[in-house]
Amino acid sequence: MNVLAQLPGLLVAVPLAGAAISFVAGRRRAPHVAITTAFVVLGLAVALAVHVLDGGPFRYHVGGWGAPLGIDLVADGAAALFLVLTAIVGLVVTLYATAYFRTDDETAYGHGLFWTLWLFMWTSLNALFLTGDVFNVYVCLELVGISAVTLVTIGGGAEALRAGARYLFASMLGAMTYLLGVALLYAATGQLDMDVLRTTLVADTTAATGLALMIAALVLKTALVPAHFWLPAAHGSAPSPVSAVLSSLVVKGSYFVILRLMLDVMPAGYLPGVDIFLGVLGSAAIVWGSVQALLQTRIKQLVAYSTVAQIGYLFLVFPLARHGADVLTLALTGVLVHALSHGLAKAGLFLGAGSLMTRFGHDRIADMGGAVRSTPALTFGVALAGVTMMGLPPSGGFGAKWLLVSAALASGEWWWAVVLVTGGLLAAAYMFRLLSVLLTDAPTELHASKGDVRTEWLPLALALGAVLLVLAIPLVSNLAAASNVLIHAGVTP
Amino acid sequence: MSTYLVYTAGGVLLYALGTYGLLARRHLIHKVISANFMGSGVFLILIGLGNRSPEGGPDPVPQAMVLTGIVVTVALTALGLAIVKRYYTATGIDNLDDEPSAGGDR
Amino acid sequence: MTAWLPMLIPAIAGIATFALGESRGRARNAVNLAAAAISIALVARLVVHAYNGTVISSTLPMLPGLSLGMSADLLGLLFATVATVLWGVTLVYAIGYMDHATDRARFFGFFALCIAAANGVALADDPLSLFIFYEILSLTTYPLVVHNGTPEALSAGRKYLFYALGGGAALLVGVAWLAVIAGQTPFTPGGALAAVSDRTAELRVIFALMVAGFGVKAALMPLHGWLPGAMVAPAPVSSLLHAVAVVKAGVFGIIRLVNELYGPELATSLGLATPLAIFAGITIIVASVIALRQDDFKRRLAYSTIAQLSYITLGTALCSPLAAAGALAHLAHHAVMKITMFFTAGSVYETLHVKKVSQMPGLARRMPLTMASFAVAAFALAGIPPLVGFASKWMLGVGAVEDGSVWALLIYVASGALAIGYMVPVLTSALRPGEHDPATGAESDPRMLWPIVTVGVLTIVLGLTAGLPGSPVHWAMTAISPSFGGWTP
Repeated sequence: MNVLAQLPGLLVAVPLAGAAISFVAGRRRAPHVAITTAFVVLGLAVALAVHVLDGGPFRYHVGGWGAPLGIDLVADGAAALFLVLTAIVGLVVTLYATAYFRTDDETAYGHGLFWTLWLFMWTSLNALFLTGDVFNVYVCLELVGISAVTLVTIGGGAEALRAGARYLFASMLGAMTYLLGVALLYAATGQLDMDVLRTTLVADTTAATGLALMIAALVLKTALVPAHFWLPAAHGSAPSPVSAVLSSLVVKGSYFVILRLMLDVMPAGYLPGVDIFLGVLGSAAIVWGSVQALLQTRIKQLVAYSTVAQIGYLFLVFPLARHGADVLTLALTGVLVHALSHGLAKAGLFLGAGSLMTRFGHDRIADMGGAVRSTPALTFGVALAGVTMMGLPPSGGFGAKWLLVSAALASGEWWWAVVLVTGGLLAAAYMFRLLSVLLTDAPTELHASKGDVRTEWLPLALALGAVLLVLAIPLVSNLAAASNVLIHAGVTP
Repeated sequence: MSTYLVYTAGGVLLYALGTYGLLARRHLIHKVISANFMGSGVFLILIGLGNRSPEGGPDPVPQAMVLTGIVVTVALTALGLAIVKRYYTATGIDNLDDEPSAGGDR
Repeated sequence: MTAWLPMLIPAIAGIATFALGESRGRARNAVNLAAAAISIALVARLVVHAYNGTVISSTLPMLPGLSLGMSADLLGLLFATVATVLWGVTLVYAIGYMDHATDRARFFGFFALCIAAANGVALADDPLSLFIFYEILSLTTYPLVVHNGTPEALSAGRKYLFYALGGGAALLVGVAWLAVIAGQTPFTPGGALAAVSDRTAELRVIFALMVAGFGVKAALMPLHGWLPGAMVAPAPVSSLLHAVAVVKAGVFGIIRLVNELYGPELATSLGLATPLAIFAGITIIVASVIALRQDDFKRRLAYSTIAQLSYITLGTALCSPLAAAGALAHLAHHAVMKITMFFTAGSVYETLHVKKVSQMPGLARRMPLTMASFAVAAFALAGIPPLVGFASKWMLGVGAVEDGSVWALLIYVASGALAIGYMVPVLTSALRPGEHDPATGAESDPRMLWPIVTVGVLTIVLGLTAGLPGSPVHWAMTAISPSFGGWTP
């Protein structure tokens, strides 16, 4: 048996096993189970990426049953990138959580369950990135949603419960709408496998309505403006490690499905105007999210609105994809680099925000003066993460901005470049609003006198990763070339 | 074909009712039930699909989808009710429009 | 690989400085001074190679179809030499100046990173690489501008960022657009865009975007607003960064843009050079006039810097070989003169808390060596022969006449008179007897005094040796020559 061919299955099975074991292991041993699992999953994800780079995309038949009857997992370059991102962020968040929850009140509701729920969410996310079946997407989305909502409410505070309830209702609305879309699509085509749909999809009102409903539902789950209403509260009031995972990874899960439906499954122009519409919403998200971030007075709300803005960039690929294979290659590589750099930097920012809140004992930005003296590594981490948010060199965010701006200019639709550049400047405005406070010379009254080495340095590690990503762009662009979107678009590496 | 249409029309109606309820009703329990309406509507459409090829036997795939969907919806409903109950116990508020007085979380 | 080292060595020194932390002051000073010495030796070696016709270069693939490149050519090395040598001098000065200050690890760390970025700008082989280091320079300077953490410093920092990032955004679009239409375009003397020279409309917009980007750091009016405020930074920062590295990165970008990306011919035929020259000319006169009225010493110097930077921009924009060479030589000369003046400003502030010209009476007798060095630099700035400023100004003026732009010559002459107008009051004020009596104390800390004397002497030596091979004048003419088809004077 070829072990490499089993990697997609293992990437779902291993974290699932970890989740089960951590539940049985009990509160004391659960963190060790989670750390071990995280290392193993990281290894598996990297191995999958290497395997895809070597031999191209491949399929894995769950239980040995192939499509159309069985469920297929599809490992391509883009999926491998998201899996590796999830594994890196997952490992760092796991390590951070061992410090974060230890310093917390041990009797607080649910903390013993954090590890199980988190590994379960990781399982569902991996499955979501790999699945090649539109109904299985529904199941994965719901599993992610259930674990995410539970993790948001794990602290048990009124604000978290309220945010969790709002998140849950948004999630339910999205799920049922997505399922209705799947029903209509199945009614028209009798198919659920994305690859079969790609080759058999013909113009049909029912199928188009179904796909439109599915995309609308996924847009809600991705929190694209104006469907972002649930995100700031949920991401802002969850415990910080949870916020990090939600902002950095969970929104990318539903986005990745939109990406595949729009650029791989549907022929160009199948839903006329939707690509431009998504680009316009993305632009609105960049501006609206940034302006809201600029107005926030609480640190995690600022970071959460920054996510609303950064999600917008991901949607600029759709209008650009209409302009031929070269522009599509640039734009797709650009959004993949953006997803990676935002994933790393945003996780770093949320973890950093969590550490700052622990140190200061509150979350008011205005009263965080002097952080640079008391917690230099942490402040530096937040600043570096900010650099990548702004898309300034040398950082992964710069690479993404460069690729997207180039794609926009090459397509002739230069106004997307204006949006991108404006977004970078707005990001600079809200990030420096935070940084200029952290850098003041104010005397600091600290709630916790000394930070744990993990809570001090792990945010910096993630931010450094986001910056160093700029050196890995050739690798990302090779993996993008090994994605089904580009292969099916006829781009030869 | 007409049976299929009836199921579909009924399903869409239930889905629309549920959507309206989820968005318009204030009470949290109402919202949870409305979401179940939406789910039932979709399941109805899927069940109807099972019989769309008159010459062949029933299509098993939609039934599998409905079963899976029911399981997922039950889990979501349970989670929703648990959150609603905890929120009500903590704050005495039964909707999302009123602000809780003091947030005690991080 | 060697071409990367002038950038990498200061960068490593910066990171090491952060790692050493606040308490290990001796190790920090040793690391920084050693890094400066090694960098100077290395740059000197590269200069010898370049003079012998071997340009050492190296590339690293980065973005699809584009690579990051460093190339140690004479043009870039001139800027790199200025930045590196003056870094060494400034380090000694800064160690004295920051003796009792806090947060020195942060200060010296970012200081070294700035030099790394400036050397990156100097040796960058193509617009993308130059852009990347240009932006890094903006970012690494910000912590230095806001170093004091005072509301005034933070507000100056905000303004600096607003300008720098806005300019960077324009530059990004320009560079990306150019890459889309022309691909990788390594800087080539005389121009690198021959293949796409028929796309005139796009090339004009790209030129304007890039000038807007470089113009911010080159303090080309109306993009100069950040510079006077940024002077709140500690004096060594003002000296090195706002008189040497940061602002010179802007004018150096314009030099690369005109001479080695578009080429003087294309820049002229597209009608791009003249508007640039007009902006520069206006900046020279307006900034000089504003400088006349500044009582705050550092602000007076800041406006003088704005005017002098546009000397360089104007010389470049004239697209005549002698003026272009004069501009490049002035880049080096102005750095030496202006750093002397900012060192002086820092010394009199740190020693006597003198910030204003009107507070200076007695200074000449209290700090004779310091003020003598300042006087030499001030006369050099006004273009008095045989000091260093004369040679480059003479080249700029003659170049303007050769080009037929007599108006430019008039601007140079007028601004020379204005320079006397804003420099002499400083000297007369210092020469008046006043509160700062020599009986109350001596010169400043020797670690601050000797760097001032060194750069002061340098303004004389470089002026006297301007005709010799290897002097900035000769160097600039050699470096500019290929851009004008092998021109020799």
